[in-house]
Amino acid sequence: MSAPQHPRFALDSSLAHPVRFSLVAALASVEKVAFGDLRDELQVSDSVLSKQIAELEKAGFVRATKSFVGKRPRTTLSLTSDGLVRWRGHLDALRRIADPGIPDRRSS
Amino acid sequence: MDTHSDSLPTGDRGGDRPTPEEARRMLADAARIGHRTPEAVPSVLISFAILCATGTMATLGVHLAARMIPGSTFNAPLAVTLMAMAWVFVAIIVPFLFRRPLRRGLATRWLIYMGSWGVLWAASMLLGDSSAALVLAPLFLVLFMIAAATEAKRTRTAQAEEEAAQSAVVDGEAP
Repeated sequence: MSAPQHPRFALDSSLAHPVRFSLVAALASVEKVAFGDLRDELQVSDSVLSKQIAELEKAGFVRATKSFVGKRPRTTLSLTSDGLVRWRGHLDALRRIADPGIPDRRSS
Repeated sequence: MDTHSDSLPTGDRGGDRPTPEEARRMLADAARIGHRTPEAVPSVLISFAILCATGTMATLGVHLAARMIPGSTFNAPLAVTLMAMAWVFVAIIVPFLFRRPLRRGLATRWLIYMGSWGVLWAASMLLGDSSAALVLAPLFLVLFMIAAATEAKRTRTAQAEEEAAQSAVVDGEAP
């Protein structure tokens, strides 16, 4: 029987960046959000947000949907179902780091 | 504009292992951001209040119009129905004007609320001139109270999670 792994191994490396962490935290609580609203919420520039969204899309966390409102392009972002599961796993790992007494939910 | 550090990973200052304090701080950040992003009182709930109030008034309106003006060339129940439909249209348009993100899960609950409202509305329009209207009219109020209570409970749960995460940070910082 092997010793339980340290919870840090359960952390998702895609969420190590502060903007990506905040971005997924914001998306996890809503169905979807417009690019501009998310930029204002996180207080980052368009370029920083675009770059981090691209990283998260590549990692399978985020889905970006492009549409038009009149003639203006509009990008809407949402978390994928896999992204939501991984985000919850990441939070669970953080809880176990913060309080080592909390059992690993994945093993129960 | 950019308030985030672009070089340092969250909770990771020089290693790949956040300390318990950093983990608590990240959990508090996640709870705070998650609570802040959706609006506290969803604008769709205001729309739903208008829809339900319109439902009650339209049901009673059709009922009374059918009883009080019999045989008139002026079709009073139709006038009530058309005016009510105008309010229904306005109520459905309102959330699109605000464009605020919906709390996760609300899209599904919204379909359930609107489905229930649609069934009640159809029944009211079909049975508005009978005594069943007196039973159907208050059901819109009951439906709205159920929706409001459900959303209030969800909001309280989110607030409690945020407060728990914040207090964990404070406890961790206490000497």
